[in-house]
Amino acid sequence: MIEAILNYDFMKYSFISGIIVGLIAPLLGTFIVVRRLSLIADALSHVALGGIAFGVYLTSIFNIVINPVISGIVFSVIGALGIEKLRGVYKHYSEIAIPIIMSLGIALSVLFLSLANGFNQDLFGYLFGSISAVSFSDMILIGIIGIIVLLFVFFLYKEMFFISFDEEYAGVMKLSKYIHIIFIILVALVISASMRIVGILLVSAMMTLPVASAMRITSSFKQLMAVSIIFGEISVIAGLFLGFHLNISPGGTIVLVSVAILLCTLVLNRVGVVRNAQRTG
Amino acid sequence: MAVPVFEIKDVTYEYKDKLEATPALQNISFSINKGEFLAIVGPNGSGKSTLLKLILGVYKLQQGNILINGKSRKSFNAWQEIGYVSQKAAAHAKGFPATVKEVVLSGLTKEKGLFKRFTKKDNEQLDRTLKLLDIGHIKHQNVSNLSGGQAQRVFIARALINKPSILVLDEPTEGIDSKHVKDFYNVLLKLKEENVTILLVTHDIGVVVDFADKVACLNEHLHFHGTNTEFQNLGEAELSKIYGFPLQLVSHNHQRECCK
Repeated sequence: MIEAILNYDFMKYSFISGIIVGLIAPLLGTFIVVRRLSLIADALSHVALGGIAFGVYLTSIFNIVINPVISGIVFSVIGALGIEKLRGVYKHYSEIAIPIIMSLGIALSVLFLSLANGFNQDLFGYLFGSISAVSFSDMILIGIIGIIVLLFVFFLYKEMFFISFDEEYAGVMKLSKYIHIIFIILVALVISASMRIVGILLVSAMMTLPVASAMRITSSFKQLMAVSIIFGEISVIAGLFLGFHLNISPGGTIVLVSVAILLCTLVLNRVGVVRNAQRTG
Repeated sequence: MAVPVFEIKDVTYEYKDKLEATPALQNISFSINKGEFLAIVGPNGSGKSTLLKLILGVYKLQQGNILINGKSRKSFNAWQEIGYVSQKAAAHAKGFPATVKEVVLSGLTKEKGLFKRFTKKDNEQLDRTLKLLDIGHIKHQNVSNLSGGQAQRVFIARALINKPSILVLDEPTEGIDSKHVKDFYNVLLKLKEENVTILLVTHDIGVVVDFADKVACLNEHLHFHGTNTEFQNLGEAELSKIYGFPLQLVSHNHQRECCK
């Protein structure tokens, strides 16, 4: 595979994009999981699918090439803002916002895919990820999103920690509500960035599985972030390697490696290897 | 001369849900002065927490006005001067992957301001605060593994780390054993000596009569606002009328407990 990375541009793009996704997806995923918003990634990925289908539809009727990643980003950002609005409307049942937006995303996907005369091979790549589909412009876009996410977490870490731990107190302290809105928009961007590699249907796994594994063996929030990123990178690198050699979509192999890591941490936790360390920090 | 920190002026609030409106507070007016320890008491659903949320700007005012240090809630911008311990604080800790150090240090977030990171000086302040509450030894422990009393002291430490001049507490000792309750109120008395204004919402009349300077008794209306001694002289008949059910004040080990 290393030879292929050196020789083929598309492999280089996939590998670099995968490394970026392996870093930023678990990084934002840490905040998503502890805020009990894990399903938000699923909802936004389905809305992104609606956006991709819309891009495919526009391309089919107007005969102009629209990068479906861009339309996916636009839809998922609108979906993210929609979830936030609905969470405010249904204060006591805020989780209802997620299935509403998710169903809307699926409905839009079905609508535009039907109008665009159905599935094609490219769409399969969006659903399950593809090693060969990542273009140079996709890689640049993923890189820009990666830099924005890293800057956001670096400069607003303490605010994000505060909001994640105690939203009520954050409200009392009048911590800017825009921080949360920016965060949700970034989640939408990361989902759109990740879908080329892991695919829409599995993108939420990249944000939640490494964190779920890391949670079993860490005691501090910073440790959780660091270990989640390590698990994310191991999953992406091993998953791309397996996908390449077995000639299958990398989304599946990446997620399977993540699940294997999760099982290992569960076993380690069960036999008590990390339990004592977790207790004392 | 008494300097008012909170001035609650003719506040009325109702919960609006679809076609129904449930009144929570009606024409509430009173003040809390600098350095005062005021306890708000009343039965469940009497509007205590609602009033607290209105004071803290969590809820929008419907009628009346609230001034903090002479400013309206909108123009008041020194929220970092207010330390807050909520009733649900301990619930946040359950299962959260963070250490005592991370949680307590987060109390400095607002004061530090955007884009700034914690410094060595902040860590020294952290150590001093942990020592004050006698939780220095659990600094690196995960907050989910703490006992109820320890967790509550962690949240009080988070509220105190930026040396607030006002402390707002909503049922802070809920679910804590009597030894830790006593320890907790002793910390409050220590803070009072440092001229910190304390606003406590509780249904535990026993601790109120032992520690508070002033008492406000709520049940939709403000039924009583006065000194602790005046409150104790109210009599059981008057208290039972406020609470809406028979009350008996029992004195036990220097603490008077409220029993149904």
